[in-house]
Amino acid sequence: MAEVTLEGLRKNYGNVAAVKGLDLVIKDQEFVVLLGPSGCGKTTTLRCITGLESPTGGRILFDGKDVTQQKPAERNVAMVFQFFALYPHLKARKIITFPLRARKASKKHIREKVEWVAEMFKLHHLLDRYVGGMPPGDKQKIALARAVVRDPNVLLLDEPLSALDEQYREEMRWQLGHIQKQLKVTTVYVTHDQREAMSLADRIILMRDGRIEQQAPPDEIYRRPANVFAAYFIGSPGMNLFPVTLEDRDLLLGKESRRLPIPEEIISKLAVTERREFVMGIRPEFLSIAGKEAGEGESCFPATIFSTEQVGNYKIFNFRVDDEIYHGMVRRKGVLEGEGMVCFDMAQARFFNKESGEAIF
Amino acid sequence: MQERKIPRMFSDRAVCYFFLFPTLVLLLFLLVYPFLSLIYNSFFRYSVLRAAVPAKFIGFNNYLFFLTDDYTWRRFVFTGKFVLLAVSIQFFLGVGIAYLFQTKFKGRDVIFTMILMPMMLSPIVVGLFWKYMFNTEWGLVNYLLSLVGLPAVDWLGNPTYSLWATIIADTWMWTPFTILLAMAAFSGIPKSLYEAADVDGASGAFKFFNVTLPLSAPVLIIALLLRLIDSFKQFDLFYALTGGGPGDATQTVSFQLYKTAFQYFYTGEASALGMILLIIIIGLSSIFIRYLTSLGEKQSA
Repeated sequence: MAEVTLEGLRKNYGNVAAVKGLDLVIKDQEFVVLLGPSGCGKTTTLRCITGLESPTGGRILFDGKDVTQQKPAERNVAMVFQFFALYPHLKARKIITFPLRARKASKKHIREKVEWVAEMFKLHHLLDRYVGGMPPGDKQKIALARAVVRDPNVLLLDEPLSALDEQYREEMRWQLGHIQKQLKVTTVYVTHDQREAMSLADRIILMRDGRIEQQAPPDEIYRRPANVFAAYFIGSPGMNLFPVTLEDRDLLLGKESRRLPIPEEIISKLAVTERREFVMGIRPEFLSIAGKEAGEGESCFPATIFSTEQVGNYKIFNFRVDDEIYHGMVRRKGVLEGEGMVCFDMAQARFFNKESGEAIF
Repeated sequence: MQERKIPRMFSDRAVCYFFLFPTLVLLLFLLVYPFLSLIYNSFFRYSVLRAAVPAKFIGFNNYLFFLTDDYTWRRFVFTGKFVLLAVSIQFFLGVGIAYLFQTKFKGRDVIFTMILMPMMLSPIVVGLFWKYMFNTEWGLVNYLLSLVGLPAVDWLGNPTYSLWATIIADTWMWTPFTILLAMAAFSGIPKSLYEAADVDGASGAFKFFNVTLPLSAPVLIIALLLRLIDSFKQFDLFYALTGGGPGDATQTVSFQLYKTAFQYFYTGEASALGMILLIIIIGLSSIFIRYLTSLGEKQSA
């Protein structure tokens, strides 16, 4: 168990910079998820923490001690690989004890540890089998067991659930979170799946292009994205991003300048920035449909809903503003297609700087 | 679209036979007939040189002759020594060198290509090369020995040294083969397994014995098997390098077979000896193949 600090971590592959100066403190026992699209540098960052890649620049510290030049073994970290990386020539028991045997632990210690880890993951029945014919879920359990059997300082997971079927994934996700809390081990988890990130993380580190875009607990990153990238990447569908213009004390939507009635206080807040153009972000679930006529004081505008899709109990409706497609999400039955009024819950709206993409409020 | 009609002059099966026919004829003449006549001849006193003398059926006497003959027994002992020493040296050297080639270093590809060259030469040529290099008076090997102050060795004139001379030449020629197969085996091991072992704190040796070796075992066993069969019937290298000498010190079983068949023309006896050799090789291979299949079944079970 350790606190992990990254100071200006950089990693280049030839001319390509994969990680461009990362500063990050992962607290002891914290569950941190590195989230981002493919190629954002999240796996490279993880491999640097593991010690499988040596950084081009910057430092890595475990509990304040510089480990940048240390080999993975010296750092006492554990890693779960995307495709398990289990040895096909060994039985599960031997795979799980590999880290202990490699460190020449005593027979007694090994026996106790295997018993402990087998109990935790409920894999007694798998111990004396080869992994060859096992379903991915069982392989995953063995990979996890091998990782935690040595009481690692840091547990590192590289998209550990991506090779599993949907149904296994839900179950393993739950189990993973549960075990992490039990073991109280500092955990870094890499994924491109925001649902995994949302459900597991104490803190999400959202990355893009080798940099951190935002780091915050899941609900905060969801409610208060720091920039348009975070706004769009998190959520499915992501946040709607409307180009808006402030004119006098009216907010105009899109190029066609449809006037959107909004509360006076938002207008005031926008006015003090002394800018005219903004990006307004609002999540699909804060959009609704109000028939032909909108009530007084509501922020609605007329739009044509051209398609809908049913997702469980919800219905996602799609409409266009200036050829861009936007989504709303409502719990309503019946036909929604056609002309209507789309209304915004403006208390949930977020405004971004049009040039930099940074959130204003 | 309209279906195009292909005239059905021949059925699929007929076409099949048509293409198989030449191969079958070839196999019959080159494999099946000689093999059957080998078995047949091995039970007769018969020589192709004296075709006028009718072959006389003598049962297993040809076999019994070789199996009880001291001289033949010594050939087997020599062959066994040679096979065991040469193959194990080549195997360890080959696996070791292949392991060294896993790391990237400058000039790796050039050196690798050069190392593979001996394998591409004809054994006769290799034998002649080494014959000159082992020459007692002006050979390169003794010259090199003299540089470090060692006395000249009578490589091809002394029975003990001539065994080593053949082993050295064979090793020089065939180690590359083991290197090649071992490298193929090593490169087939996923990188992530090594990374997992690194994270798990395995030392280089621990990784080699617990990851590299067991995972490349199937291919290494095939390499071993091929080398074993090959060196067991090794003939041309001996023919060119030592001619079986000094005396008969480096005569392998296959060398004796050659002499029996093509110098003395005892066709019946030669056939029997050939059968004995064949049975031994089949026996050896089946041990390996059985081990190999058990290995495969174990891991997929």
